[in-house]
Amino acid sequence: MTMSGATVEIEGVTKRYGQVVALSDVSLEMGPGVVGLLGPNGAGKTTLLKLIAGLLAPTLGQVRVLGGSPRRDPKLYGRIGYCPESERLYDFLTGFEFLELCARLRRLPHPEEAAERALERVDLTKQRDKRIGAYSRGMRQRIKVAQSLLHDPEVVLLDEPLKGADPAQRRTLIEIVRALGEEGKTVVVSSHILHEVERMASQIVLIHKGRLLARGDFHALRAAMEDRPHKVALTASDPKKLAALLTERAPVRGVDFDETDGQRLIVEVTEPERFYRELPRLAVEAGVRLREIRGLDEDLESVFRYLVER
Amino acid sequence: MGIVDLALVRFSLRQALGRHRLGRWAFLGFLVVLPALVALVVLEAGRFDPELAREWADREFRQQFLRGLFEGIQLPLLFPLIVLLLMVPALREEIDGDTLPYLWIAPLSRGAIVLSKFVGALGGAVLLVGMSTALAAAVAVPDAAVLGKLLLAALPGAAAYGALFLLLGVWVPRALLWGIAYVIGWEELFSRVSEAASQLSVRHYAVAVERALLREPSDVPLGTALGVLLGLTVVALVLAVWRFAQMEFPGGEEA
Repeated sequence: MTMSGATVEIEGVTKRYGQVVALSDVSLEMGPGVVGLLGPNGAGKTTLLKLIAGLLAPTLGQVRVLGGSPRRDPKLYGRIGYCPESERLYDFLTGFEFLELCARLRRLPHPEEAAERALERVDLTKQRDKRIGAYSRGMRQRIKVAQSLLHDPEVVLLDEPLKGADPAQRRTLIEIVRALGEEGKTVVVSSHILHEVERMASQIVLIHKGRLLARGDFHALRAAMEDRPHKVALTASDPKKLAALLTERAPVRGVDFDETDGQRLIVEVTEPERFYRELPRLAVEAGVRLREIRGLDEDLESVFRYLVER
Repeated sequence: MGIVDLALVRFSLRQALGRHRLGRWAFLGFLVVLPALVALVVLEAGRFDPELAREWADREFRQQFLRGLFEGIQLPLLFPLIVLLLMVPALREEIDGDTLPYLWIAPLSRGAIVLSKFVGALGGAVLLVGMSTALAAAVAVPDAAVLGKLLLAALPGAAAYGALFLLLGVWVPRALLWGIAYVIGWEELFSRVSEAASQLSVRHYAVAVERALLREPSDVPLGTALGVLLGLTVVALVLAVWRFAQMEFPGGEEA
């Protein structure tokens, strides 16, 4: 750990694959606690995690973990846990055999016990002797997480650990991640789903198109999102009447008719909460029947678009 | 950190011997039993050819026959193919299958990972090579001393082939095809074109080791043959470790 308390230091890192820039001039430091790495698919999250894990070498800049470079000093892997996004595993091994192998490769003193503990932690004890090839997607996800925690690492890197997990498994995994953070470990967890990250991490790092967009407290991002204008699609029995009323009395910046469907309005809303509260009353007042109300930009992509354009 | 990691050696051996597609196992089985089948065919042919039957009854003839099999098809063709089929996948299948990161993130030196994979896969290959030689010897001349010398003779060649094929597997995609092309094109065909070409093959030095152990005349001294094979093994392994240490693992969402 450095004087500033950072366990992961990334300085001016760029990663190119030929002409494609996967990550561009990213600098950041991370310390103990859970950091959510957030970005849409293809943003550069996996590249960043692989750079930290030493699975990729930066084209420019440098990455230091626990004061060194795992690529140059593999001994550091004894203090780093990494859960890849890829679902590929040794399908011919049982869950126990896989974890025992990982424990032996990490030179743990009691590999069998470590494997049993890890299986228990991710609730896979009953499936210990089942071949990984026969595991469900959620079970594969959990066994990957288990191998990353076997050796009680100081830095844990989890790439989309909740992908493919059912709600109960998600709950278990989220609790594990939060507990790791509370134990004082540096946990970097990536996801493209906002509310998942919200449940695990207090600090977030936003990546978009290979660039570091924002970083810091989760609540600051939430506030930014509440401020942004939302687009809402409305289908109504009398769209013209509703459009006039909305323009006059609702917190909207503009109302347009959908070019492909004349019955559909596209409303740019400035205060979403107030708009959704007042909309039913205005519709009743105008004698208009609402058939569809749909937010058009509540996905992560639109949040990023908004933040990029801001 | 040791030169090899025993857990990884055992795992590599298990991968080499326990995890192949049926087609590959069938081909490996064919390579293993082929010399014994050839010996059986000759034995059976003796029923219809009294002269052959007379010769087969002579132990000296059978020993020469076994040597001919070993030098003619096992050492230059069957053994390299067996080693190829077990050694190339040792790292190549992990690269293509995206499982190599699990080994990469182990706190082992890059050299220990590569050497452990090499030792494990070579162990599997030597087992099959030994079975092949023992089966042929069982049919032709069940002589433990001759069998022991042949097995010993197979080792340096197998190690040299193994290191070359491991390097191939780390370096190029479709390494199995390149390896087959090398064994058949270079070791089996090109190296037989002339004496000079022969000196550029692993076969040339592996045969020299075998002849020296069986006290047969050879134009390459044992020390030279062993030195070349050992040197080749070391250079190929050093290059494989270097290449492995440079590897990167893109893939995932950005791939």
